[in-house]
Amino acid sequence: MNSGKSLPETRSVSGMVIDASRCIDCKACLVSCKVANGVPAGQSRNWIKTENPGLDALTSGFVKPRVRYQPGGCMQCADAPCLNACPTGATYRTPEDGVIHVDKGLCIGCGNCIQACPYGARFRHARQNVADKCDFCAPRRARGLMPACVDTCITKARTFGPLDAATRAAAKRFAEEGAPPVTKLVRIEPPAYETGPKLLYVNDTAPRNWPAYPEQPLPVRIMTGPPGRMLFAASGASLFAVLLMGITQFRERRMHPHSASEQHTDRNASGLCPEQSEDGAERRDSGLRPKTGRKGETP
Amino acid sequence: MSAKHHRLSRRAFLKSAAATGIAAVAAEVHARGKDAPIPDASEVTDPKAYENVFTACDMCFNRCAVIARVNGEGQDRKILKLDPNPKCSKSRGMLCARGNAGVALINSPDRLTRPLLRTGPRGGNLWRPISWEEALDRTAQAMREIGARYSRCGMLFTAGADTQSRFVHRFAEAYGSFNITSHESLCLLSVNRAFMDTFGEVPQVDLLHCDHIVMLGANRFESLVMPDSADLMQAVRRGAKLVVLDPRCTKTAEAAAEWHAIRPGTDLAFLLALCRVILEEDLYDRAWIESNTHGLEALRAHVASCTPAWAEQETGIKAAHIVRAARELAAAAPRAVVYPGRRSSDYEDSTQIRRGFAVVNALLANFDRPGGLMSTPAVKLRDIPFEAPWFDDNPADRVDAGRVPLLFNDEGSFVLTRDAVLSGQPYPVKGWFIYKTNPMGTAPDREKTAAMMRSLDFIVSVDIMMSDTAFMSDIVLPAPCYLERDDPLFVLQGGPAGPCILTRNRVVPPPGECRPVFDVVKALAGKLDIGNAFDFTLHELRERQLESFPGLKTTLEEDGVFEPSPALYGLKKGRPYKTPSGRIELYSTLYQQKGLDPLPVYTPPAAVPADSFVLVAGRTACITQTQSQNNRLLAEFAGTNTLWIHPAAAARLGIGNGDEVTVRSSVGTEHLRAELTKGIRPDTVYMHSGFGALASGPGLAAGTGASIAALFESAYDALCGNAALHTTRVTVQRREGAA
Repeated sequence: MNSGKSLPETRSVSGMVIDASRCIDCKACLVSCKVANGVPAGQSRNWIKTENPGLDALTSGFVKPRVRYQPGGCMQCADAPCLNACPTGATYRTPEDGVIHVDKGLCIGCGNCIQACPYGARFRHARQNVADKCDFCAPRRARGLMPACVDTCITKARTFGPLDAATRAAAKRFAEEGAPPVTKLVRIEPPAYETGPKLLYVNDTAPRNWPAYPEQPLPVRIMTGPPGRMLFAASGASLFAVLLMGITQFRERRMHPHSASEQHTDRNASGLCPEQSEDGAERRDSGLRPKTGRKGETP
Repeated sequence: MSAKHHRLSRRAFLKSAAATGIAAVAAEVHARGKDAPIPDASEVTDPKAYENVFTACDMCFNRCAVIARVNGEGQDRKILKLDPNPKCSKSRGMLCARGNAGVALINSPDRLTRPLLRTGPRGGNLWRPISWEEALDRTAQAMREIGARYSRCGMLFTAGADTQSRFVHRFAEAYGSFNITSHESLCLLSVNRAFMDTFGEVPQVDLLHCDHIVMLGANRFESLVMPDSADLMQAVRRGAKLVVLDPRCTKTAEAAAEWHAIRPGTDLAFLLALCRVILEEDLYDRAWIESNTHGLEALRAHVASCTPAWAEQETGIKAAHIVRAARELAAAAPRAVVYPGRRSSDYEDSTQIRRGFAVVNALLANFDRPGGLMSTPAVKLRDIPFEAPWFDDNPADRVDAGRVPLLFNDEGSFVLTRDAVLSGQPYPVKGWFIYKTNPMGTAPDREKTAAMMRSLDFIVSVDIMMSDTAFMSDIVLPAPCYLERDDPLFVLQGGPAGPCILTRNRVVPPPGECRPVFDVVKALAGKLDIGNAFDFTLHELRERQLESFPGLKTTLEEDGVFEPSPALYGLKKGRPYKTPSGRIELYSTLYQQKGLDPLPVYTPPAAVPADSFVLVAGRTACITQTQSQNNRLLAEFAGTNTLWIHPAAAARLGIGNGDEVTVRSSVGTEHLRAELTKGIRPDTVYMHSGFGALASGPGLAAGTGASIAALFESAYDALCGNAALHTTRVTVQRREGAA
């Protein structure tokens, strides 16, 4: 588990359980995020996607509109293409909660991770010229506050915390409110690539098929394809050892505990059975492996 | 300079500005720089360097409870983030986009920071910064002269929705003028009138426990009202049925089980048909109706001809749907409501239309019961009393009195007041004191508002930014925004969340020389020899208020909100309603006495000519009329407005999506881009309010989008004088030669 790509125990993995059917596209989460994280004008760490199948002609006199909104942001993937794409180790995962961060001191602004993200969750910060994305408001959580989008939401569509606790908390709240129970948690993933997102949508959400297959930058493709393997084979063991040492040092420098995710567990949620995940989103979290290719990643 | 020779246009403003070389003055006035950064809360990671200050939002009228996260001391003190206060039930622990964007008011380059004196023609944008002493002396002198020459009612006072507006009212009363208006006669007076005259009070709504909601003339998922907006979503998720009637597909309609694109102005036909079905099919709680209401049989006779088939002809909604709507409402009653709504400045018979809302609710027997309309529990704060002086030389009444039969005496009507000022009848009004409201951006017929302002001898505006109204004033006084001042305590009613008491504590110092309006009117009162009306400090008033409830002070300090938790339901049990009959008046005794229709009579809206459209306005959750127009954070999500037009209508006119179009009404012409959508009726066009400012400083607002104030005509509610904006008909043309 020392690659940084694998996830720690499911129990402590932070995530967001979102009831997208509550979203009214009010933009509160977007503005709140911008202020909380100093996101420049014209850029955003999060989004509200829309599925609008188009309204029928009004002459019918009776139309059930089905415009649907889907708030989202970085999915904190279990198998995160951005981690592989980063040449400097600036993109890293805090092992205790599985959240992926950008170390702005290490980022060289190459943009590989931006290209690699299937969700378009990353952007180059206009003032700082480094990669930026949602980290579930790590600075806020360090102060014991909820992520800004969760805190501010008008209709309380988002529940945050260790994923299983967040799921229980959402289920409990919905039960208290008389809302439909959580029967499944929906993941949004690119075709033929299981990213293992940690933003999970309650019961149903739309749109679904918008993520792109992760576009690995050319150097990564070369290094992970046959030429790369030949290169590895040809290179001496000493070079490999030096590289390994370098990576280890990088890793140690970014192991500062960044999050206090435990305190966000809804204490009241215990005692409630977690809802069964129809597609097994929760169960897969601990042992997630990609379906396709991508050999040469795991040690 | 008559209105005819001085038609307002953005171009004219800019031209005159360039010609007279005012750029230097403007630059000095707004010397704070254009790119003051939005704070970055993530910069400060040390939890100890982070102070929490309780306050209340002021980005709209809701005043949600807020926790300001603050860092630094003295002039370096800055707000990093505004968060919701989870302890406030009324605001449901949320803060909307506008509330979050409050930080952009701090350091905004558009903030007024010094008193300004107009030095050129009105609206010419020539200003000279002056001292507070000179500004107050000039204002007091002008008020003295107007009082002596025209009587004290020669001064008009207008204050927007603000916790310090009460001091402006007190100042007006101490000065001796009856002429006080507010934003409310451009907004919600019709619905208040109708419910007062039916239930004897303006009810809250318990959407939280409601099972069936019919919403028309309201848009709670965009035009946010707390706790209603949050509770409506909870109700919908719980399985409550939401039916929306609206000429356009609002976000509320999108979330509804049904959306009916009703013909504008025909709501009452729908409501009367609902009454008929409920009565005809005996779907009401007879015992409750008989013991609580007055005039059932008269109503039955009145709606006998209002068949669903007739209503279909009027509203465009199929009769079968109307019948079903009535049956479903009645089946869910008393946990069913026809949502009363808020802004009702739409038609000349809006009071009667909203009476229709009230009457259907009465038939649902939902009043004072969970899931229905709620009586308002009394929560009173102690105050420092004051006796308004009497002046023998004053005229008998308000300047707009007698023009409509059911004027609210303490609110009046802005549209009617403006007519009276322009005509000089029944007596001249020549001075205007304006606090934090912008009739040039919100009142119908901007040209006429400008003409009114030109007809006055003296205008003083107190505001945080150079609104178009301040722009037309003689003296502009800079005020602190809500985060920069202490405020008195105030009570908010929260429906099923219960009432609460909040206050504001100064979070950061105001920029430049800003002074709160309390200080302004207190100083002016001193100069005008009416200082006894303000023989206290704001601190002393707050101390008095804090004595109102045991534990109020400590709870406010610890939680930022005090909730007195009175009983919320069953308040009317054994008590008469505050109506002439002591009952819910389906049949209005008051109206009958005044010779008005005692039952709501449907008036068909004027036909829309083939080449015209009904113009309707509304907003998103990022807009608070013109108040939000200069906010950099909000501009990203609501930077301008477009004209919603149906593709069929657009095709007929050769208009493509995104084309620039010219919209003409009988009073104005505006330009904006067309947005083709089937979410609007083919006979109606729509635009957001709050755009098309003329010249509010160097900010984002000037020159973006179209102004509803420039296009809407000055019709008014025949009963209470509330503005009637949606009677306006417009033509739309593709603008040739536009980029």
